[in-house]
Amino acid sequence: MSKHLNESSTAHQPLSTGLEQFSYDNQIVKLFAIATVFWGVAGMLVGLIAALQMVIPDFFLWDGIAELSFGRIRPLHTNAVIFAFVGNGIFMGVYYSLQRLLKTRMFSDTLSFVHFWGWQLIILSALITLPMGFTTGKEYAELEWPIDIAIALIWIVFGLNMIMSIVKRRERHLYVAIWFYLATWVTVTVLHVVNSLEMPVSLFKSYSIYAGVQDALVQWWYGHNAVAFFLTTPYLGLMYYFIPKAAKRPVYSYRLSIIHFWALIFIYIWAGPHHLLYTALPDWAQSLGVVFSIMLIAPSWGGMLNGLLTLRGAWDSVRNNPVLKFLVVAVTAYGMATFEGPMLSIKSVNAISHFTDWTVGHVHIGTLGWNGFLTFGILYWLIPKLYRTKLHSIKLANIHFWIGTLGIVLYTVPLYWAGWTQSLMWKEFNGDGFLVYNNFLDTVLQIIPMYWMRAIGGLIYLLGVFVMVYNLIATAYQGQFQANEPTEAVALAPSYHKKSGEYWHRWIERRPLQMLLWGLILILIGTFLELAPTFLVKSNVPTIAAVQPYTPLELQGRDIYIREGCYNCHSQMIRPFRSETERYGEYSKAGEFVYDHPFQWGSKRTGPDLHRIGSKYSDSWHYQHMLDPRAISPGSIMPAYPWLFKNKLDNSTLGAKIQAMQKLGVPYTDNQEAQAEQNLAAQAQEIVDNLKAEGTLDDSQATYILDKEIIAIIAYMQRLGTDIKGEK
Amino acid sequence: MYKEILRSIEGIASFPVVAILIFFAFFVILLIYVISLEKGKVKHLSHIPLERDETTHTSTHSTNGIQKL
Repeated sequence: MSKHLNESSTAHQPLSTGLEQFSYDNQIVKLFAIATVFWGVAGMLVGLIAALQMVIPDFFLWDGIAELSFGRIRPLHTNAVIFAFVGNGIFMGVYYSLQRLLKTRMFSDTLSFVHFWGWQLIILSALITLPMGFTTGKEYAELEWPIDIAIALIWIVFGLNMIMSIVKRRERHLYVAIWFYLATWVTVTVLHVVNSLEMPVSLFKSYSIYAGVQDALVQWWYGHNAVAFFLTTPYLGLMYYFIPKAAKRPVYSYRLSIIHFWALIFIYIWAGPHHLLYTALPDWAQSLGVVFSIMLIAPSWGGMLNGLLTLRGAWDSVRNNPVLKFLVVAVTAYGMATFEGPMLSIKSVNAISHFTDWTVGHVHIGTLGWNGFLTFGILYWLIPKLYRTKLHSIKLANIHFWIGTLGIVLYTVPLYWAGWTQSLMWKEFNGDGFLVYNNFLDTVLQIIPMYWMRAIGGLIYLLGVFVMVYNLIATAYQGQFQANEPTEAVALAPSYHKKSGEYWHRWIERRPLQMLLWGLILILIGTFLELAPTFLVKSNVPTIAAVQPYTPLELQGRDIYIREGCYNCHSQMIRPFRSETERYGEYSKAGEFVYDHPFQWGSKRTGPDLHRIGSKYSDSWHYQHMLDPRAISPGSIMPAYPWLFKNKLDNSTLGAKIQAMQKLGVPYTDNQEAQAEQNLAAQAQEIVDNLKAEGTLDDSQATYILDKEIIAIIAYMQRLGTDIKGEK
Repeated sequence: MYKEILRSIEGIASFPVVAILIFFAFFVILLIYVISLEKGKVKHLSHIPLERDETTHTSTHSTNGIQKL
């Protein structure tokens, strides 16, 4: 226990009896800070690998290695940077600021301990399971059900620790940052539970209880609100604490902070459908998403302006203070991303941007600029404070700032270029009304140079992070860490005497639990009104009669498609544009996806859309393409999948899978379930016979390949989109 | 197809109306509340994160400027 008292308490005259001495827990903050930096480096490194895989897909380091293939690496990157880097960053900032805003130590050191180690164990489990292909196939929710349960438990531990600290507080009024933390906690709970509802098949395999359009809507209600309530609201809370601390001045307008807080949490919830524009999602839901996304500019920019205007009249301090540099650019990036996002939500803009690298560029303005830079700014402020020293090198911090900014620019600008280029190429018709760039691959080859630039941009950004790591470690070494920071504050008066003339709204500020409840109600209104109609349906809703459940072999193939993360590069959603129907076939109808647990519409076309790939190519084409994409399509950046030709198809869970699907309402008959293995074997034999007839396999090869995973994938590919007869 | 689904839900037409009314009412009330906050109260709230010697006790410390709103 350090003998040095906190500076502020020695400067302050004790008021009267009731002054309590306690200490802030800095140990937990330090632990989360270390985890933030560690996982930040790890997550960004995986990102760099993913970026390089898109330009040198057959590099010896990852060529032919299942666990390192792009489809498994990309989710590892997204999960790492969102939940491991930003997640730990949130907790670092919350645990530091919450104690000081409430003038109390965290409610329970044990809960803090469990929270920290529980979260790191969850990350470790993700690190192991994702490359192994244990995935739900839903973006930013890939972790399978046992890990989902662990996440829920640790999240509850976090919530308990935070809420009980609020109950124990010595500062009666809840500063705006705390509202953001509470809203984060409540909403993430709802999002996680609802989107993770799954029917388990085995210990590491489950199916989403939702299918097709419903699953898409739930997924993107979740996905966009993960952005809103994991990447935005907690960081806005941190902004409201750390900018005033770093600038030593209060926030520009507290009144504005109240308004934009409530507007933000109410409006954000509805924006999810902007991920599904021009898809098979019903029009009314798409329109809601568009309108609310545009309205979202107001509260988002309210936050940005509040953050930036806090520095009005003190901009020269930004020049000399790297912490403020990072915070200011972070808030500016937030403003950029929250203008760009609503623009991308306009249908006519989205018609161009969807499935392109423009979306990826947009994401990284937010993640590299807002989340990254805010985290760095906080770290540069916080580590010297925790170690009671000055930052080791202001010069290096400034160098990091400029390197990082350059990295952001070199990352995103090439992707804007790539997005526009590719989209316009997809849509180009010649005078006779035919597609100019008939071969999808031509549009990919055109943007490879931009992909190289993006990888370099990411590398530069990461180099800046390494500079920071050195600087922070050096700072720690030269300082003296204080695990428990002694302080004192007056206990809350046991009863609050209402001042005469106090407005009746004052009561909610003093009642955090009611506040929690009202916040929950507000976000549930948006949730319910958007999701409920799609669920209040009778079970005998007319579907497309020709649409049948997948055969056992096709189901196995679909599960391999999910395992390999094919959705990361391929979409299964043909939009009602002539440029798409000419290229891919009839546009995708909602009724075609009713048995898709989970949906696999995809968000990106690094490769072509696959919804109507069925019967487009021969079995041999698929066989050779999966074995070596570049043998069929020279210059292709798709990874090779040689392990599918060696792995035996595991049918041990086939019965369980069909039963699970039956429970979810897919009309497999009991007879079909009993005959599943025979049915599978017969269909596999058909495919192998085709491969022999096409001259791809001789007899011994055919016998060998009959029970391998590649046959299942071919079956699934050949089934896609064939249920309805299109015009082609 | 979705028109039929939506039509089959009783009272579906009132959903959007209820939604906009709740939305509007909430924010009008919130706006009134926020505008009516006392200046001293606002100053106290906005100074909570700052060090004690920058709180309302020492109101002569005015580098922070005057709260506009």
